[in-house]
Amino acid sequence: MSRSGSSERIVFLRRRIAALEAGGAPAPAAVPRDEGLSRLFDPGRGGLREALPARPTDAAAAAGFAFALALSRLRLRPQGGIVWIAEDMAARELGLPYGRGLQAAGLPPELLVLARTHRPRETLWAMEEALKSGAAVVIAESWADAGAYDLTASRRLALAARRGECAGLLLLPRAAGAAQRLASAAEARFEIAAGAPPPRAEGAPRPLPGPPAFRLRVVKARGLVGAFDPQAWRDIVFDHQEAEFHGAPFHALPRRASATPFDRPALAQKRAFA
Amino acid sequence: MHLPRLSTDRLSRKSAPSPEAEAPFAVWANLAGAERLTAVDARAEAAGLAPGMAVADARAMRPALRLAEADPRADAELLGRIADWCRRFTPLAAADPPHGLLMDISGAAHLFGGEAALLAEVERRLAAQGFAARAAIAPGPALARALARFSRLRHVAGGTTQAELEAIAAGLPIAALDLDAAARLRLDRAGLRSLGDLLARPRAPLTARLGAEAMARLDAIACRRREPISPRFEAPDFMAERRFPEGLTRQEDIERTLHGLAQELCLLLERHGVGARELEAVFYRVDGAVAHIETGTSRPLRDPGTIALLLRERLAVLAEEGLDTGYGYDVLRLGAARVERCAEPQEDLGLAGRANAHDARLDDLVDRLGARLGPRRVLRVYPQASHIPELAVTLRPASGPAPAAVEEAAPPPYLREGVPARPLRLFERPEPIEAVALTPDGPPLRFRWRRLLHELAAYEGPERIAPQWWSAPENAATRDYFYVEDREGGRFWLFREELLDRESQPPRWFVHGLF
Repeated sequence: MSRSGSSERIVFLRRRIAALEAGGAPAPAAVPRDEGLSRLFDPGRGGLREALPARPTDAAAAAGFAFALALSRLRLRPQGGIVWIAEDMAARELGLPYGRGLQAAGLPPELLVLARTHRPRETLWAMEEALKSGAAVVIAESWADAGAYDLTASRRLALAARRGECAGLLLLPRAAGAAQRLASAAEARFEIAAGAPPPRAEGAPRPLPGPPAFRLRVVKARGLVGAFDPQAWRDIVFDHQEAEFHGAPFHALPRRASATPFDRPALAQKRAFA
Repeated sequence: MHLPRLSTDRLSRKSAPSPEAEAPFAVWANLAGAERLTAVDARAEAAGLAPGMAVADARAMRPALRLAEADPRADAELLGRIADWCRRFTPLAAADPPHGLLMDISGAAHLFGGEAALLAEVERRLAAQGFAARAAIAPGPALARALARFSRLRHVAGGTTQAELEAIAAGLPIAALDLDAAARLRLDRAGLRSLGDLLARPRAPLTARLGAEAMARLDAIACRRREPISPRFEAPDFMAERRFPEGLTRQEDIERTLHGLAQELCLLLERHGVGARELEAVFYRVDGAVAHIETGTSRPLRDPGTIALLLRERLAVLAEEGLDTGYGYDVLRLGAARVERCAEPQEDLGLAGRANAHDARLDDLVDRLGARLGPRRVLRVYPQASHIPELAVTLRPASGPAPAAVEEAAPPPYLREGVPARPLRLFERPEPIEAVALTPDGPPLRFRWRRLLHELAAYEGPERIAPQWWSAPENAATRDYFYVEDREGGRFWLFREELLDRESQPPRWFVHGLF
């Protein structure tokens, strides 16, 4: 884990100890979970956010999460539209945004401008231009590695997003699993995994797929330091009709499977006892 | 303008002067089964060689003859490039294959110190680049063309009377008519050697013998009829240009000049109440190379800043690909190739005005992205009336016109309790997978996609999508779509393809999209 990742974790733990000492009662987190999330997702603010899949197979889920985030912002700020920048490599791996699917999820197609790029450099350039242009949301999917997307690049994007009051969402499918190691100037960084499928009772037929569910970890949140445990996974479900996230899943999800960080079983046990 | 030695000049101007290069040079091609010379350079001509000679004969006459195979395409390309270069003198320049160029210099000659000076400059500049060129100026393009090829007379002033023009035309040989060999032979036998012989004769019998086309050509040469030049590029309606005694090499200088040109152009546009939809900037390099950049806009533009910004993007692309400024650009021209009436900017009150301002900013973004990425890479999504998933939407350039709107059956039945029934992402081509299904019409229990095994956890389907029977080819397959969620939570849109008349074959499975 990088220094930035561990320092976030230390700040979080310090806050928690302070809360314990002050009130005596164990507080699960400094900010209640959903309020914190809604502040983090606050669509009113511009800024650069990054979404990284936890595993390569979660790339589509990360893209879905970025789109859901975009929709929740568009609901509050409908003018401007979405600029979606898709790099050729990402389009090959994940497919292109599909108009009917976006429509079904609640995005009128006339609000979308789709730009296709060849290389990460082009993608980052296009994203910076789009952030400055007054679009409501810019989603960019880039196959960039750390070389192409460095501190300078992320700083430029973050500044452009702040100046343009635009929400920038950068999806980095190639950096799957590297969310803790990435160094950038983004406001927030999410590590996304696909939500668990609905459970199947013994002997029952296979269930229908549920609404889009994600498991996410807030690896970085500028301005909300200590509000999130950068190692805790949480489940969220996106409600297309209301265009908002719900902390709890729609269907009664057994807590065991979904709340367990798949790579840190020991930590999960500790949390279960806390 | 006539370039009689285009093919040989094309090759010899590339090679450095050397003792070998002193030898006569010719270009040959395989004509009707025989190897014959198609072009010879000045030395070869002096040595008695001529186009049409067999290669073996030529070799026998001049053993030192250097030969190269003809490449008509390269010649044509070169001619096109020279035509581009000619546009530094006038916007109306056209290639006149195989060896000629036509320029309409009306109203342009005085910029170069008069017609005679222009003539000298064109020839001098071409000669400096290694081309033997003969140019002629005349009131009609056909006459100028004939003069350049067949006459010593090079300059016929604009004020010449029709009688004088006909006298000049009369002195030209029959060959100026470009007749085929048989017709030429017939005229030769009849004792008709010059155009004057033809002009003096009654028209009707001549037309019957030579055909209306040849007579039209004759009239054009005698300037009885004006033939228009069809230029290689349409001259822009509005343009601004700057010339420099020394070439510009630094990119900042070029950008600054473009900004100045944009201001001039915008003044012109504003006076006519129009805005540019297509812009074209042309850079003429000192050594003759011509660079073009073109860019489209999604709304009529006449803001110098925006125009300069767009051109800067295009220039940046060129610079990335390696813009070779060489000795510098000495003529820069900016033109509006297509204009459209531009609504006067209107101050609006209220929200509607604000929303419009926003759209304008998005349009500017589309232009800027299009200038850098190419207009075909910046797209908008338009729904189409089709139930085939990949045809149900179409992606069109965002700067272009929108296709006709489609009547949509009110909200499509895509939602089931918050679950979209169409994927967020669609592959451009469905990807084949290996799948194992329990029942012939059931979902796959497990499937292998990109070498990873996925186990079914939840599914919905099948949704049958049949091909459009009225337009589909015979072997079009029916697809059964499944919305599948695997144990890891990955969501896929799979389909099974079944050929209705060939049910004995195992069905093929594909991944079409991801949720």
